[in-house]
Amino acid sequence: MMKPLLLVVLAWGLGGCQGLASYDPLGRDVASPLPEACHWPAEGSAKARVRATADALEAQGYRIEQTEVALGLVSAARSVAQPGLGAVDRPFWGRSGFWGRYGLGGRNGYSLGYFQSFGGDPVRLQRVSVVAAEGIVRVTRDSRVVDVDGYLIDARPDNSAAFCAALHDDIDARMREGSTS
Amino acid sequence: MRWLGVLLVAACLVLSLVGCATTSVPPQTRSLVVEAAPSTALEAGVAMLTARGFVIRRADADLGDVEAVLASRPTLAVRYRLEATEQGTRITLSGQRGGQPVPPYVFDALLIDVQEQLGELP
Repeated sequence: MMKPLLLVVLAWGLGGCQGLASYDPLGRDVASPLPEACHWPAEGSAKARVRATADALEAQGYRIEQTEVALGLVSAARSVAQPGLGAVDRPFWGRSGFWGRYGLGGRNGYSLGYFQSFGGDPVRLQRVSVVAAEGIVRVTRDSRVVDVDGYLIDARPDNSAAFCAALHDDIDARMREGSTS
Repeated sequence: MRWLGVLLVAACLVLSLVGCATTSVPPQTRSLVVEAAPSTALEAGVAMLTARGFVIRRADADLGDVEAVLASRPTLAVRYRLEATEQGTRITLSGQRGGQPVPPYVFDALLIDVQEQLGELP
């Protein structure tokens, strides 16, 4: 009597994993991971577009790393501290241990104590590139979260429609502003 | 009998050290010659990479050199290079997945995409 129920639970449990299958960016017939808002027809001169794109990204706190007008390329990155994510893979009472120290000054001394530290916050590193190839502007972004000691907590493509739409509007506004003034 | 022991220990030591001396694997590449001009092939390659979600980190149109990355598990890095030859433009792809070279046959799918973009699919 219990067996069919058990099978259903098992099927559900295993079926849940199927949704987690990641897309392979090097695979055959990859469905484009870019949302509709992340590509639009290229307009205006490449130079003005690259300048407007670089300004728009800098306004969002990105650092421009490279530009290439012939490809309409702006490559940028930014890092954002992620307070609260540091609890991953770490005991909640922080790190503790003994420390010793030689003091410099009027006299030399040695002290020994007990310390507790919670470390710094992990950092989210976002890389974004805007290119205009074959008459279409494409925005791609990825994101990594790195712990203070260099441990990679998370790495994933980060193509958000909201980010692309806001960037598109900002670029258009800046290009209009540039052409009228 | 004692010498045998010493020899054995020495052999183990040498073997363990030899294990560290791995030579770095040269990047494995996949090439294809297309009829299109380098600038056209460059745009097709960049369009193919960004459509797949790659972030272009570095590109030089004059050199015909593109470096693309994608943060995923494991992390991916792909290099797309162009070279003008007598037969046409030679496209060379190489890449690393999690620090290890990607086997060259994987790039066939990417090269087919580029050929499709250029309208040179046989």
